[in-house]
Amino acid sequence: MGKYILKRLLTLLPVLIGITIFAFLLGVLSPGDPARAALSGREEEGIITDEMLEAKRHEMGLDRPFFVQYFDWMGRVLRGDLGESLIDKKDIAENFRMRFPVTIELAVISTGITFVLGVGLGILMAFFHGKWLDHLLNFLATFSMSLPSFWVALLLMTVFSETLHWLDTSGYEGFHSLIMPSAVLSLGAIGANARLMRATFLKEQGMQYVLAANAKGLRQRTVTVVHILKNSLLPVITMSGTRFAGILGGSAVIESIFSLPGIGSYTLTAIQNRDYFVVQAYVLYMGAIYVCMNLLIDLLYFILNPKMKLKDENR
Amino acid sequence: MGENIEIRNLNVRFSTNGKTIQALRDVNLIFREKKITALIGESGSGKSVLGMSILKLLPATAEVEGSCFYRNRNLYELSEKEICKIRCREISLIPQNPLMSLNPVLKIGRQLAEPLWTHLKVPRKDAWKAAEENLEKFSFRNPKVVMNQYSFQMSGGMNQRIVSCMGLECGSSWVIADEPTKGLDSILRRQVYEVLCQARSDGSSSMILITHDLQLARKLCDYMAVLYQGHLVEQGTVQAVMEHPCHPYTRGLLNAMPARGMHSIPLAVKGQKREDSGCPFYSRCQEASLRCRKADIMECAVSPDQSVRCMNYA
Amino acid sequence: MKKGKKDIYLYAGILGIILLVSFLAPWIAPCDPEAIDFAKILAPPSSEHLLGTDDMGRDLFSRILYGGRQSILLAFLATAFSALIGLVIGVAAGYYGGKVDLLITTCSSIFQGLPGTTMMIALTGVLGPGMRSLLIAVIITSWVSFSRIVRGEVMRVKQEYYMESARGLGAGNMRLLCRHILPNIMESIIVLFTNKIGSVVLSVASLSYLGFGLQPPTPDWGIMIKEARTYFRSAPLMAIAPGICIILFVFSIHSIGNWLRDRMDVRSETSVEV
Repeated sequence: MGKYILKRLLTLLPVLIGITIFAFLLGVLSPGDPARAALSGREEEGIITDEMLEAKRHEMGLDRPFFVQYFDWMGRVLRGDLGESLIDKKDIAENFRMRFPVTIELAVISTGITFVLGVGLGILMAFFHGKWLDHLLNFLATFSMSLPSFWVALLLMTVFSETLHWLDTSGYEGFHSLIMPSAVLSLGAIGANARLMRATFLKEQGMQYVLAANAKGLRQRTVTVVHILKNSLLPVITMSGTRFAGILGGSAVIESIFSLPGIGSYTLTAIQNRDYFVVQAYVLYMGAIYVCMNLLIDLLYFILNPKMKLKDENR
Repeated sequence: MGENIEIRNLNVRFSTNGKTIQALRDVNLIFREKKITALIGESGSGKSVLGMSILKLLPATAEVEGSCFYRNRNLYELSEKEICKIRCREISLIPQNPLMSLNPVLKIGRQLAEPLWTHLKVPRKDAWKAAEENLEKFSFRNPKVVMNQYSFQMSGGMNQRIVSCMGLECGSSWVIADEPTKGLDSILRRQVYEVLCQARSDGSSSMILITHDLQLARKLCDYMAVLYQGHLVEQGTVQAVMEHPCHPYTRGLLNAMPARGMHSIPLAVKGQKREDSGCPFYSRCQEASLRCRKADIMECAVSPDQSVRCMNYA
Repeated sequence: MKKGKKDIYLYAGILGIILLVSFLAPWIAPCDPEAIDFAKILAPPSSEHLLGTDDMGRDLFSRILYGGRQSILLAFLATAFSALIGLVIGVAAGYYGGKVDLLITTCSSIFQGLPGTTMMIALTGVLGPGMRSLLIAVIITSWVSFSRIVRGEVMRVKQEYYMESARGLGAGNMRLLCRHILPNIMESIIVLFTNKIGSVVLSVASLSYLGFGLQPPTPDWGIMIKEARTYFRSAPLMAIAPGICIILFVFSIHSIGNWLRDRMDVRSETSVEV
């Protein structure tokens, strides 16, 4: 198993390197002069002379060839130094650390809700296949996937915060601040998950092994839970994993609407302020999340799908 | 009498997307206890449908009419709960296509032990142990290892023995074996034959063998029933039917055997539509007369051991 | 699936009306969508202004009629380009295999690893707001889903025996592609295309709402919701009307996509933007 994970890691490594190059290019190619931005924080715009800019560029290493800059930057990144923000001059890595807990909490809650409800409703739809309940849930699933999340967020805020005063509009003050954001984030994903679950479940239900299990006189519940469910969970797990990584990557829209101090809103502000070092760091962070999430999904596959073990042994 | 499985006036229809397909039409058949009956027919003749209907394993789209008596109960009218007690415990199934019949994500051991703890109400540990011992009887050299493996790690022959073991382990008095030799080479076919012989001597001596393998039927079975497009065209003892086939279709099947020169049955003339009434074999039959096309053909006994549904004998 | 058959006319009808109205907006809109009239701020619905006016006295109904033009056009264009790029790259990866495939798969994994909406925000942030940058941002983030599906299908079709037999007859590579592979993947692409348009409209609306997409004073549903935010309680119609338009459009196109998928029996995954 360790071998398998190692192999996967090796295939993911080029992807990670590609992402770092992409992140670097994003910083280099973006309009605006980092040196000027670095200076403008301290002095008045008019006082910056060409000599000062030249000196600053040299100090920041911006006059060297791109690839030297890239390796220099990568070296610092590997030591955990993401540089400091052009705007508030604070350490970026520190900022990410501070904001990460909020984002991960949001991701865990929302993915949890999505997975449980998605699987549950999907099975319900499969059970009532072709009946009115199936049609209704199908309709609702498609409908939920068609909702603009920012619009739903506004609606919820108006109803629950401004009219009923049940929940705070914005800011982060513990779990209750995450109720509305995770509800909005889950909404469309539940629909997608349920539809996927329904399709997989129905496909598995028609398999020969289900007939054989029924022929053994097992209880309907055993056949459903042990035989069919275990086989139909894999696609939904992959979808949920991707979703989880996506929210971890910062649901910029939702975090900023609800003013949550997470990674997404941080990045959004950085983009608005053209704070490219933060954006760079963010893309890197995303790459790392992507690789970790992929490994995690692989690991789950390994546990749930015995076929993977066999392949591993044969390698 | 009570131990026989008696099928009366069985009609099975599948309706999907507004189209109705009649899978079985007016089938009357008695499977005798302590005997092995072969259900013979080509793919799509309804032989598997007939077998599955006994255990109520047909998909929900199937409409079943008629009755199936076993121990003085109509199996078709039993509730889901009641039929679950009969499945595997009294009438078990050896499903076709062993690899597809085994769950790919569950260990062989669990799948073997499952029916034991469900029906015999033994603790799971004991069921596991009993399953292991059963595997040994099916000539697995290291059952302990096999128990912890998965279906896709086994060879085709091993999987066939595993599903056979699964069908026989609860000591049911009836076994329905669905195409046990389909797609196997001659060595594996012999293995299956030995397994079924073993089952016969083990006490599960009442058996329904769904197959198109006439060799196997001749070697193993006592009775045989021939199905053509959902109609039961001929039935009787294996000896009688194989020696003196009466229905032109049975004769065709026998002549198509390799040992008899592989003469294939001619296909139907194009454009000739099959009538709802009359003989289903009409369009392919070389002995057909105009009567065969319209008339309702009754089953008639040609000897105490054999009956046929053909105009030539009516 | 009988129910779906009847419903599809309804969805196609809704979609048709939205497309028609968007196209004909300059001719059928009662007022200029950008005409500011400070004398009539936040007016309730009347015969003159069917849905009332917004915070700058602009006619809401006219703005609604105009509101889909840019984002729907953008969605169609961007998705078409993405499909084209994905098609070429996917066919290349699937058909040639080997090193080409490895390179392309790695590249597409990079794009796949970056989350859609946030990446689009970053790109429009770098490129500056406007139609052109939106178009580029959407294409960069969406071509991968097309190339992945195309690659898979090409590989599958390649395995099938008739490709072998066609090669035996001496057909050239291009002819093989056009005659055998393209018809097979058309269905998957059409289904993905429909679903993608819906999600692109949603993403563009989000971007416009955040100020990275289309810019005011363009009459656009996303921007209208942004502007309505402060007045949600006092003038709910200002936010609800454009929201309903977005939902109707996306829902009808999603339903048509689902119907196509069921009909064509295509496997596809629908993703939801974060």
